[in-house]
Amino acid sequence: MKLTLIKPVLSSVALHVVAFGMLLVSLDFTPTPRQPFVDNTEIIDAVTIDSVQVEQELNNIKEAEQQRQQELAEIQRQSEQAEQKRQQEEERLAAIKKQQQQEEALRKAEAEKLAVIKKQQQEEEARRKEEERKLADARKQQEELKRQQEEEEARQKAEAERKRQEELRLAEEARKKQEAERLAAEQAGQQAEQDRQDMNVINSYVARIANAIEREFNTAGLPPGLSCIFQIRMIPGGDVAEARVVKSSGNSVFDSRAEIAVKRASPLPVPDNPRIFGKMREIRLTFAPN
Amino acid sequence: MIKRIISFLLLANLSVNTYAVLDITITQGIEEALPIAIVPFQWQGQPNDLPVTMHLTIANDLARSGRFRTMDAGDMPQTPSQFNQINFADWRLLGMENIVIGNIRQTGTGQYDIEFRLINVYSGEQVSGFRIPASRDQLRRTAHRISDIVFEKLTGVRGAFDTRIAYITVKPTPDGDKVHTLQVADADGFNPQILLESNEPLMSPAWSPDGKMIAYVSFESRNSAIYIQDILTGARQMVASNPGINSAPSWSPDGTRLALTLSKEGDPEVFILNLATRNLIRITNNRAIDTEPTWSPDGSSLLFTSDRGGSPQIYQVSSSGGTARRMTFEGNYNSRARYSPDGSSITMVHNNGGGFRIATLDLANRFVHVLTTARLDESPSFSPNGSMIIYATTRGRGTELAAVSSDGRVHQRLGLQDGDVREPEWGPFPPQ
Repeated sequence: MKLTLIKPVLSSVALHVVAFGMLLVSLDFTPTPRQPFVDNTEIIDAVTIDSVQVEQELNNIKEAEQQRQQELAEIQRQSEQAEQKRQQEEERLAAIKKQQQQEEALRKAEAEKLAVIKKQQQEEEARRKEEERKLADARKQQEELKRQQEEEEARQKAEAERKRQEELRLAEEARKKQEAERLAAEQAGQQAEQDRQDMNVINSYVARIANAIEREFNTAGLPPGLSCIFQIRMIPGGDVAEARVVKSSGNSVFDSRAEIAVKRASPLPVPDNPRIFGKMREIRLTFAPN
Repeated sequence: MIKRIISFLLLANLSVNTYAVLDITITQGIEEALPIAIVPFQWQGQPNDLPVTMHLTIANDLARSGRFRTMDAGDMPQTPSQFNQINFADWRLLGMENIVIGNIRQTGTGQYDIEFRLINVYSGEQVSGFRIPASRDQLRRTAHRISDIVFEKLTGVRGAFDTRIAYITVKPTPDGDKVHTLQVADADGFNPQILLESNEPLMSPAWSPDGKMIAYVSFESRNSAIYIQDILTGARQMVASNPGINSAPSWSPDGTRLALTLSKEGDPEVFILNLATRNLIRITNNRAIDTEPTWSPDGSSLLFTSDRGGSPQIYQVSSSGGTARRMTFEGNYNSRARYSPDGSSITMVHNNGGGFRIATLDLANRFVHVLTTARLDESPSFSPNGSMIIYATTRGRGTELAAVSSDGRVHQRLGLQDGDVREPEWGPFPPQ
């Protein structure tokens, strides 16, 4: 497209150059009128031989001649000049005409050139406009793209925010749930925890009770392998209120030694805390010496 | 301990919310003498009117066994003679587990009723109680019978206080000779009775299983001979008088035979004599000395002493003969074995370099337990309930009887006799 546009411009330029060259040549060759040839060398000499009067007379004649000559020359010259002037005028008119023509051509060329230029300008303008339009489009596109990008960014940002919020919400929910569970477990486990702690206390008393009874359980002379089971009940403070045989060893001496051991060990070591004591006031005692 | 806690924890897991009964297992105990108070028996007459102080005889019996720790009358908080007089709290405060209360009532000339009660202080209940009629002469034996009842009720083992011992005494006479006697006394050494007196040595008394006869060795005819004698009637008969040694008689559990040592064929060997047929069976056949046979409780085998291994050791052989098996390996001297009544252990004279001492050998684990610490102890013999061993021990220039509980815990000298007392042999239970 551009190439086709540029070619006519070049040709029109070339045309202008040719036109200008022609114009310059024609101006240089305009005809100039020439001066008639006059020889003054002898006259000067004469004066020198005659006396100043003669010379003066001669000068007068000469001057009258010269005058006349000069007049004639003048008329001649004037006629020539007229002729020359007419010719010059003619030439001038022709030149003017030519010049006019040239100017017209030039004008035309100029017009053409202007037209070309105008066209060119128009094209340029169109091109520029097109370019601008394209630029605008591009800009618009870019703006659109940018807008889209911004929108996308905003969307993503919003999405991220939404996700973050969701995560926060979930975390909070989980935390709340955990907390609730913890609280529930805590509440539900309070009894178990207390039981466990009580059991620890009771456990420490189990060993002490066993030791207290073992210190009193006299196995001297008893046959090996016997065992019996007593159930005892204590009152607060550890005094054994009741000790009854649940399962006899079959050896009354063994059973009796066991019972005496319990009673000798009474009061058994028990915790002061009534709640804990309540859990251990009944004991199943198995006597099974190694 | 660990087992106890584990069982507790297992139960605890199950019982967190149910408060089930706590479970505790007693896995060990102590072995101590049982504390007992024998309260002086109530007697309306003068103290010296009675030949026996009942509560002291009972307390001595029980203390001698090693199983009881008796309380002196002066330490007692009260001296009740009736159940309803007992202040249990006072006795419990002293840690007294059992008390014996009683009274003696004269029912006629030389006739008495002895009433006693064994009370468990901690349960506040009567464990046992009897009224025993007795003549004046039977009062001591009645005390031993009460001791037996208390012993059996509180240890589960039949008491052996109402039993007798036989032994030999040697006493110098003013004219320079020696008098040898065979005697029988109560198990506590009281009430000795002479069965035989001789100017020649008497040796090796042996009880018949029914407690009516004693076999022994007498040198009255210059050579040794074995006699058996009826305790009550004093009737005696010679059952073995072979050339050479006739020694160490031992009754078979069924009472029909005697194991003995004879050297009629050269060196001392163990034989079994059938008392009815007088038939002799040779049990051992060894060029070393084989002597001091004793029967196992079931009669299936004999223990005897032999130096066939170079030093005296205890061997076992079937009562029908055969190959002997060495039983003792600890110590350079082990002799004169006697089975415990249940056959689970033997007692013997043991020397491991420190002197001749009384020891037991546990036949299950081969553990030798040296019970005495004197320089020269001899002739150990189990009580019929196995709880004590009587033996002779050297003291000063003589020997006397001593008793040790079979766990070695309680030692007592029975220094009741003048002169040397040798070869005690504990008699069987009286017929029930």
